[in-house]
Amino acid sequence: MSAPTSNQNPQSSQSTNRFAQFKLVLLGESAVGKSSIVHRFVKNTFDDMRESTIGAAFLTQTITLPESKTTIKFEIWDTAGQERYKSLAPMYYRNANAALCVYDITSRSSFSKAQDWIKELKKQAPEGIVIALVGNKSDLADSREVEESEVEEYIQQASEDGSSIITSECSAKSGDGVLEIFTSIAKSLPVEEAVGAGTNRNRAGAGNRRAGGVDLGRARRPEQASSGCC
Amino acid sequence: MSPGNVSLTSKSRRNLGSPFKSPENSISQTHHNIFDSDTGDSSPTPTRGNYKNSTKRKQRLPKNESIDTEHDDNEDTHELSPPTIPPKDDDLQGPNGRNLAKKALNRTKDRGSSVSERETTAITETPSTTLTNTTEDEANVNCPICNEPMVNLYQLNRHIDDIHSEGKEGRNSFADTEMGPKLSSISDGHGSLGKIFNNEFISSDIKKWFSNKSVEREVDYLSPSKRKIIKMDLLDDDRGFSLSDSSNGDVFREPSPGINSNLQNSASPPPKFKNRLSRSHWKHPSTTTSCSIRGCGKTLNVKNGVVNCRKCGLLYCYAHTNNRVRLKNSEIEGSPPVYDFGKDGIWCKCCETCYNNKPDLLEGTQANSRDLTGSFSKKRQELLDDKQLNRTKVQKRFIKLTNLLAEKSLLNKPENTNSIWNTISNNLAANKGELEREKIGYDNWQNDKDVTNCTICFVKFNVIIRKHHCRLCGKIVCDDPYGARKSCSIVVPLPKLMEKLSNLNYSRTVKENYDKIINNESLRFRCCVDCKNALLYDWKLESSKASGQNEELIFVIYNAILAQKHQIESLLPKYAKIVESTDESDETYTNRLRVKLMSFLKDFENLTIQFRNKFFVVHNNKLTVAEKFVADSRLITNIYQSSIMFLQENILWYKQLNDRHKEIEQERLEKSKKEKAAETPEPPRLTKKQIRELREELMVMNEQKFIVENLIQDYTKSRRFEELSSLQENKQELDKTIESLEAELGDFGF
Repeated sequence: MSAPTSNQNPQSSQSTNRFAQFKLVLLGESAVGKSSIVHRFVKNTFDDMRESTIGAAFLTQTITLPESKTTIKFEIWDTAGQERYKSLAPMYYRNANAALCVYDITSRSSFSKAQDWIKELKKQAPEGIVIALVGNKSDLADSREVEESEVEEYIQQASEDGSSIITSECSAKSGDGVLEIFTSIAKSLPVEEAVGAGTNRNRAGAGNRRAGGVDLGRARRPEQASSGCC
Repeated sequence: MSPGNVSLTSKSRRNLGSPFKSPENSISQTHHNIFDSDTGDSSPTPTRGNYKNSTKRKQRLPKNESIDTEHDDNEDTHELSPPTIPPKDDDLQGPNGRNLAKKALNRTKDRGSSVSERETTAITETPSTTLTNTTEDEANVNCPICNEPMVNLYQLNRHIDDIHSEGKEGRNSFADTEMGPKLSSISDGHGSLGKIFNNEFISSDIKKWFSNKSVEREVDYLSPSKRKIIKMDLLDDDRGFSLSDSSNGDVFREPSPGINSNLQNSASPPPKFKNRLSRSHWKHPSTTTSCSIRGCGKTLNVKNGVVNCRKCGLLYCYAHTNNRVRLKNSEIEGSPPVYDFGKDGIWCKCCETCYNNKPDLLEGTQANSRDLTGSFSKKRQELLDDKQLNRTKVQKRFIKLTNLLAEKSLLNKPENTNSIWNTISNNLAANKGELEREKIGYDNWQNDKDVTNCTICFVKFNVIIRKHHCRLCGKIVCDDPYGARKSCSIVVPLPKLMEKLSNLNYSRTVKENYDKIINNESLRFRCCVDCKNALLYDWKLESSKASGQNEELIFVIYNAILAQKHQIESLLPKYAKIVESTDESDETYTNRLRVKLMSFLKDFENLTIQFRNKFFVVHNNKLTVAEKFVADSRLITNIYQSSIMFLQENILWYKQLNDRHKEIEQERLEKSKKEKAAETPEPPRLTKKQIRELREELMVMNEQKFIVENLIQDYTKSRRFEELSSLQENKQELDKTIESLEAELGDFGF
């Protein structure tokens, strides 16, 4: 299991900016808005007529936590929610640092499905994975089926074994709460550890061409991070 | 070589010491005089002309020697010299020559009888003698024309046919003019050879051969490139094709010495061109052609040969076109050549079938069979007719005798019933022979004095063995009332015969008093065995026919039994073979065989039981043939016994085989079990649902792999190497998963 891959910009490691890289996987029933959330987060766009995802999409986004002066890069695996692609999910959450279990607040079944995912994650996923239970489509609060109290109740129940689950509601359409979710995830991620691992061992880069002396990508990376996706 | 020393070594040394010094000589194993002159050594060297070798060498000869070789060949024939041992050891002339020569001699002794034979003849020869004194012996084993050694006369015959009769009369004037005188000088010069050449046929053959030779040489001495051109021409000829044409008899041979005219495409084809056999019927070879001989099956290629039979045009391999026939073009345009065993026929290759079908060969085989059926059946018919005649005669006499005896008895009866025997005996005594003799005819009544031995068993008559006349044929035969020997005659009661021969044309009195006569035991006469058999022949025939119905019944069952028996006999050894061969044969086949055998054996047993029930009755715990079939009791018992024997033997064998088979099977089973245990346990069998799911999963994985690969490409293009690592990681993982899925699916995968 690959630990959080992290790297540190040699120029900024000591003073200004630290850098950490995390894998994040999105899980949830089909059509709850996983891809929409990701696209809102990564590209800040919303598509009304989004086609359902095939397999798992891969996207990256970087956020900066100003209080700890840390740049965190998310490698996001946006899995398809269709039952057909269920078998793909384990491959991605197995080495993920964070998992976003998305449900539709207008659909009870999607909530229970998200609960199932959480259960599965607790069983199968690596220790220390950050789980977030996200209710999407908060703009459709009128037809809400899943009450916030319900969610709270479930969270209390689920957190009995000591694990903590981030809960939040958002709307990919309006963009409300999307960034907050990722920020809170980034905060709960073991940033220090990842950064430390990166400086101490540079393990992730050991076998990779990134550490192999090619500095081009590294030098450019900050700009890339700010510009987001092409 | 000292003249007095006639020994093995001297001879061989001479052979070995022959001037084979030039490098060319070491190539060719045949020695030619031309080389003597070339090397400056003019001693007459014994030469063994070998047709093949000489031609081989000729090809190597420089061009300017061609004419000389002609002479050379001629000399070869003319001298019929003893064989030279092919000497490679050019350096054997030194002081060690003697030993080495011995070795060489030993080597040659191994070369088969014909060679060693010639060796011995050569040994006796003194150096000064000309070689003619050995020619007579050698002519038996060597070809008189080319001196090639032959194993036997048959081979020589064939050799002459094949090699020395190819030429055509008047084909080459060169031969007639140049060779003619030489040949005549041959016949003049040497006694035994002259005898051979005086034979017109042979000499003409030789002429032909020489003419051929010269022609061949003409062709042979073309420069290699020219030769190639000719071959090419043959191949390019649109009328035919062959990969192995150049050495065949039917290939057009250009007699004219001009090199240019050897090319077939020369502007004005010489008159001999018409002798070419048509090739329009030739089959075209393809890559998959195989030899047309049934059971050969060789694929035809350059190695095996692709040869058209000149007669039928089919394709064969080299091995099956070794025969030669004489052919000429058919009168009908476009049809294959026909056989021609006249002088004009062209020798050419043909397949075995065409060789065997050639008319003279067929004639030859026919001449060996003579149909004697006609004369045999004629003779047999004569014999049968004689016998029939004899039977009729005997029958007639019997009728007469019966009439006579019956009349007598009827006449005598009223007189004195008490003394019938006496009267008859008296009567017989009185008339002894007279009446009967009359009936038989005096010529047939053998005279007592003329006969000393029984005419049937040839026993010598004496006081005890008395002479008796058969009353039907009149011959004198013996009788043995004491049963010491087999008697040749017996006094037969008339009624017994009349009973069996009731339908004969007796006289009216006899017919009227038939019942009386039948009951009259006193009526009897002497009859010999032959006459009795002749008399009862028809009756026996009929009675045997009557019992034939039984036989039919018997044979119906017996045939069924035989059929089963045959099956068992053919299958059981097969089964035994399979069982005894320990290699893992086809189990299903073995089992099928076993079941088959079992059913056959069972059928056989059933049939035997049926047979027993039909023809036997159990009597006092003993099987006896049923009364109805008593006549055929021997046949029935024999059949039954043999069947029982067969059954017992084979069932025993079958059971043994079965046991053995079981053992082997058991062994195998255990072995395979062990093997299986050793192997990794097989993957559990997948249910259909599982297969579907796994396939679905595999499909998803493949899709994802495709997506990731595309992503990798995109990211590479846009030089976003940071993300590439995780993508590649993911791809590797996907690959692994796909692999494991495929392994799990096994045969059910895509």
